[in-house]
Amino acid sequence: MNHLNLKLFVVLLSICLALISPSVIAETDLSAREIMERVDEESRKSTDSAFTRMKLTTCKYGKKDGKIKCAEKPRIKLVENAQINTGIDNKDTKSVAIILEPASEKGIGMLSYSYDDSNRDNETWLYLSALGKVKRISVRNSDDEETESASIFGTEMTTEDQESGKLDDYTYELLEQGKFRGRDVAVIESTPMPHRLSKSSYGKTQSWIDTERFITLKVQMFDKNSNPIKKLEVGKVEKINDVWMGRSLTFFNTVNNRLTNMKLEAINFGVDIKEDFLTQRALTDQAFREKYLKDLRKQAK
Amino acid sequence: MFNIVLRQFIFVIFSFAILLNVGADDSFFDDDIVFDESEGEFDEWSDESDVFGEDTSIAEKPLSWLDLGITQKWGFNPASDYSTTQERTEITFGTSGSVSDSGYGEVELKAIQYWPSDSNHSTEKNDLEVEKAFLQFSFDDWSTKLGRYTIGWGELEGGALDVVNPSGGLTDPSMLPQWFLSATRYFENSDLSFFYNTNPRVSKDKLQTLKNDSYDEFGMRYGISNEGSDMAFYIGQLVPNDALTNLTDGLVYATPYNLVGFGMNRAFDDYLLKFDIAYKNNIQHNRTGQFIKVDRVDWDLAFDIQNDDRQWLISINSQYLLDYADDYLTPSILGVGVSAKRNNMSYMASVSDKFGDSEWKWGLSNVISSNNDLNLSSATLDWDINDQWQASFSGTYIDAKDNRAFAALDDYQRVNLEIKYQY
Repeated sequence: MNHLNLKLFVVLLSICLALISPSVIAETDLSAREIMERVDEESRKSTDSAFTRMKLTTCKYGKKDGKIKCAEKPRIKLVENAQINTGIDNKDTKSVAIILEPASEKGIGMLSYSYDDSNRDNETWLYLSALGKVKRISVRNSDDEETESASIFGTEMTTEDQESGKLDDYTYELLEQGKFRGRDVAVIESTPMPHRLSKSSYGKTQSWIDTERFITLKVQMFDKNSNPIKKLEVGKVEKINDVWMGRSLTFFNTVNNRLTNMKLEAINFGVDIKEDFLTQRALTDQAFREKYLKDLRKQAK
Repeated sequence: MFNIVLRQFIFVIFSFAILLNVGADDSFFDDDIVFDESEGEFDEWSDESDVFGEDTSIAEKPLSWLDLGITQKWGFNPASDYSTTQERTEITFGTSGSVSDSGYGEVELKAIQYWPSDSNHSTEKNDLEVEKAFLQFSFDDWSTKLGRYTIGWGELEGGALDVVNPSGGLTDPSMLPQWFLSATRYFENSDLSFFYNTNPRVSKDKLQTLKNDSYDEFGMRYGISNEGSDMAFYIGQLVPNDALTNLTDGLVYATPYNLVGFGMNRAFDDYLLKFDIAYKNNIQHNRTGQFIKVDRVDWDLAFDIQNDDRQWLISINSQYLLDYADDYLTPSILGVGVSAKRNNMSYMASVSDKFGDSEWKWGLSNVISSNNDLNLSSATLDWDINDQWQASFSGTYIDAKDNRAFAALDDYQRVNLEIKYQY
């Protein structure tokens, strides 16, 4: 009888542990700020000396059979992007993006310098072949709270969504820890400091951070009245070159019901991208650019 | 006894399991997408969700090397019962790509068919032109480019330094490409470029013959890029983009002048300040009974203001004659001389924005030119139907002083419609 009871005990214990295990949360001892620093660090690994070919798909969405569906034929842009981290502690970024598709926008290039220091304004240049010159474009840096960040290539992604670093511009609060899509996550609320708030489209953001891989799985953006206005869902999380990253990012603009999915069709990082390439020459000198990109394409996965 | 302990143990474990689940805020960990109130909530989001259906695959198109564009243009004159002034079909064929390891080339041919109601039909029924054709080679810090293309100088389009390529005129500001040989040497934060053109293109009336049209044009630009600002210095011998009528002999001329200039931009918050200044030496000018050469200082100042997708451009442009006499004349469009002013000021304001999920774009602009001799207002509405099709609708109205150089354009009215397909 005792033997039977012992067996029963073991079976029940196994069942209980099996039931419990998905709910066991490996709570992190890190503070919200420390988690965000780790995320920033991991994010920089995936953008340092990175070459990507991405497909940007944008459409108005709706609900069909309980599923999110494009309500119209989506617009697709194929973009190649080369990026390096530079500056003090490699916290600044320089990147060049070239549109490959559609035909009507083919060859449009954008050079961007993004600075970690909030006192330095980010810079962007466009090459317009019809005018035969590079044009600096004004990007949102002002304190006018009514203005919004510029959209990137007409998608639901904005220049602000692409920004990294500037951690000192926010305060962080750990709202909750739990399981999300089978991963241990911490939900962290980032609130811009007053000087940053005036330059931001968002009043706050909540980020679902995988506390083992230190990648963002989801972000909810709120306006300055705390209304949810946008959401980012990260999918197809893969380990590439020992770095965890999402290969599919979907931005949902819940105000105008449009979404943009950014799928990384090819990526390689840690490749040899010289700072000399990320200059205005990459926009005006197509021979120089193509020669460089050909090498990068060969290395992309 | 053991059963009691066992039951208690199981109870504790189950309770613990339940407590763990209750401890988390469900709203954070529900894997769903919450939309605005009108949309309600959606089912579980999964990246595997077939959001886009089968519409997102970029199929390899046949003849993928070919860039094809077909544009149909119509123009109407509201002041004359909407009579057709323009009806033409333009077909462009182009291709681009690498040429050897360090070369790149582009070519684009444009065939134009002028239909009987087009105002051009009486002089030419069709035309085939090389819209763009160039080869570019890049070696170390050097780049060379040979062919037909556009070179943009200065910060402001149509400004004091935007003098290399002629434009289609007041009502068509698009740049016309020319044949050039150019070379650029790149430095760390600067570049030095040089261009040479043996046959500069000059805009003129088709019925007029250009006198002495065999001048060369060349120029040099040294550009410096700094954080928050770009600047460039210019020097060159240039041929005027527009021919000038000699009021003495009635012929049209475009003889070279010398230029020394400086242009810069600077970003301030949402604003981009643009400034150009140029000293132009030996510019042809009319005065009573003479066709002379004068010196002039041209400058412009512009503010580019970006506010989300709304873009404002406000500019002021001045052409100041360093030599001046009361009998200086400006030829009117009809070839009659009117008195010239020493300082010729122009103002421009334009605004454009997108709406309807960025598929529509509208624009308004107003140009007050030559000290209010001409006032041009225009409105455009562009519809980006999909990745292949675009449509554009525009209207232009000109009010000009009837005793000044642009008198012939007074009450000019045009409505244009353009439909474009790109493959």
